Amino acid sequence: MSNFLFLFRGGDAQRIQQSPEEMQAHMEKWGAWMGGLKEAGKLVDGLPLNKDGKVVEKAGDVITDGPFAEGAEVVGGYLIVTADSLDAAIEISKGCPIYEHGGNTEIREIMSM
Amino acid sequence: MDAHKIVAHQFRHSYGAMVAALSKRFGIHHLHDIEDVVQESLFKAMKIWPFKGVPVHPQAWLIRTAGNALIDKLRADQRKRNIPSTNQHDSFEPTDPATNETIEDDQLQMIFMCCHPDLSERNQIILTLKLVAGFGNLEIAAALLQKADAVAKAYTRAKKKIRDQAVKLVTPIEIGLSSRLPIVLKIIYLIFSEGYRTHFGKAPIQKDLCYEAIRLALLLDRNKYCSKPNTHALLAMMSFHASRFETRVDEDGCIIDLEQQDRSIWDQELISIGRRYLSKSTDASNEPTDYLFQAIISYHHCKAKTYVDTAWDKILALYDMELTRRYTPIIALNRIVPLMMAHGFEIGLDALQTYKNQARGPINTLYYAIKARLLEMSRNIDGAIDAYKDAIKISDNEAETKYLIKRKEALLE
Repeated sequence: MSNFLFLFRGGDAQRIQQSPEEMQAHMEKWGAWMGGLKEAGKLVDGLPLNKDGKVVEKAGDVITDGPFAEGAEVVGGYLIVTADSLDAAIEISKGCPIYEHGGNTEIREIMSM
Repeated sequence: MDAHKIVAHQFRHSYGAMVAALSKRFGIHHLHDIEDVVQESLFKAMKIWPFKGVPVHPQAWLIRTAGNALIDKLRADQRKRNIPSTNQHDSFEPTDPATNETIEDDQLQMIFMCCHPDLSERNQIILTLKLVAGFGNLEIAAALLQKADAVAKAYTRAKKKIRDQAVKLVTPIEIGLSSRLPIVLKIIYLIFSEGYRTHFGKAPIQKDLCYEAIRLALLLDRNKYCSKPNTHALLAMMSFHASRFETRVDEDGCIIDLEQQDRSIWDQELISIGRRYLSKSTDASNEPTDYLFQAIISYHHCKAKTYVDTAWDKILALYDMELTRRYTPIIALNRIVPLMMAHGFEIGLDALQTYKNQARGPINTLYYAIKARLLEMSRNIDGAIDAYKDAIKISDNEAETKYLIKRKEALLE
C-alpha cells in the first residue's frame, strides 16, 4: 500500500464555457467519483486550487506568473489516493471526469519514510 | 451533503436567482460583469463542492460568492480609472438574508425586464431563458429549434440593448405589467414545453423545468395585475400536463404514450389544481384565450377513463374552433389524431393527404408517426413500418426515437 498524488491539469478553459446545467452535471460526476473513493477508503486528502499563483525563483529575485498560469497546463487540484501499486492508481484515475474536457492526471507515488 | 446529491437543476435555477439578485442590488447596467461573476461562481462551486461538500444553503453561498466577486471587480475598475473607492459595499450580504420570497420578487422583476417591448419577441424569449431560467445557448437553441450561433448573436444584441437602455428598463407597474403579460406567459409556456418535450439532456422529463414554469406562473398569479384569465388557463394547462409526469416514461427511459399510460397514477391533486384554474379562467371571460384551448383538451384527457373513451368528438370540435380562431399547420396536423379517433382511419388518411397537399406544414416526425398509426389502424402493416422508419430517420430526440423504434418492432412480431 502506498499513497499517490494525483495532479489534475487542464480542461478549465472548456469547463467555464459550459451552461449551468452542464457544469452541475460535471460537478456531480466528480462528486460521485470522489464519493466512491471515499467509501472504498482510498481517499486520503485533496483540494482544488485557485488558478492564480506565482512561481518564485532565486530566493525571490525572480517572481513570475509561472509557466503554467495559462491554458492546458494549469493544475486545478490534487488528490492523495491510497493504492496497492502505481498500476492500481492508474486504474483508479481512469474513472476521473477530468478527461471529458481534454484534461489529464499526473500520478506520482509519494515516498514513504 | 455529497456533491452528487444536490437538487436537480440547482445551478440553472441559481443562475437566474444570482442574476436577479445582483441586478436588483447593483443595477442592470452592470449586466455584463454580473454574468461573468455568476458564471465564475458556478465554476468555483463546481471545483470546490466535490472536495468540500455542498454548503447547507447552496443558493445563498452562490449569491454571496458572486456578489463579493462583483464588488471586487467594480473596485478594481474604479482603481483603474482612478476613481476613489466609494466604500459603498464592503462585502456582499443579500439585503434580506436571501429568503426565497426576495429572490422570487427579484426574478419576477427580471422577467418583466427581459420582456421589454423595445425588444423583439424572439429576443425577449432568449433573454428570459438565459437570464431567468439559466439556460445555456445550446439549450436555448434546442428549445426554440434554432441554430446555436444565431441564438448567441441574438443574445449579444439583446443584452446590449438592455444595457444601453438600462435607465428606461425599470419594472413597469400596473398597466405596464398587464400589457407585458402575454409575452411573459408565452415565455413561461416555452419553458414548460422545453421541460415537457425534453429536447435536451439524458433525463427524459426535465420535471424541474416544468415545475419552474409553474412556479413562475404562480408567482405572476400572486400579483393582482398579472392574475388574468390567460394566466389561469396556462396554469390549468401546465397542471394537467404535469399530472401525467409519473406515467410518461418507463424504466428504460422510453416514452409511454397516452394510450398505454396507467391512468390510476395520474396526480389527482394536480388535476384538481388544474380544474380550479380552468374554471377561474372561463369564469372571468367568455373570450377564448391562448392557452384555454390546450387546457380544455388536456382536461378531457385527464377526465377520460380510457384512451378510447376519451371525448374525441369534443376535442375535435375544439381543434376546429381553434383553427378558425388562428390557423396554423401544426394545429391542423395535430387535429388528425382526434379526427381518426372520432371518425376512423379512412377519414384520417384523407385528412393527412390533404395536409400534405395543401397545408404547407412541416413533414416532420409527428407527421410520419400519425401516418404510421393510421396505416396500423387500416392493417397496412408494411406501410406503417415504413412510416415509422421515416419518422425514426428524422427524429432528433432520443426518448422519441426509442419510442418509435419500439412501436415499429411491435409490428414486426
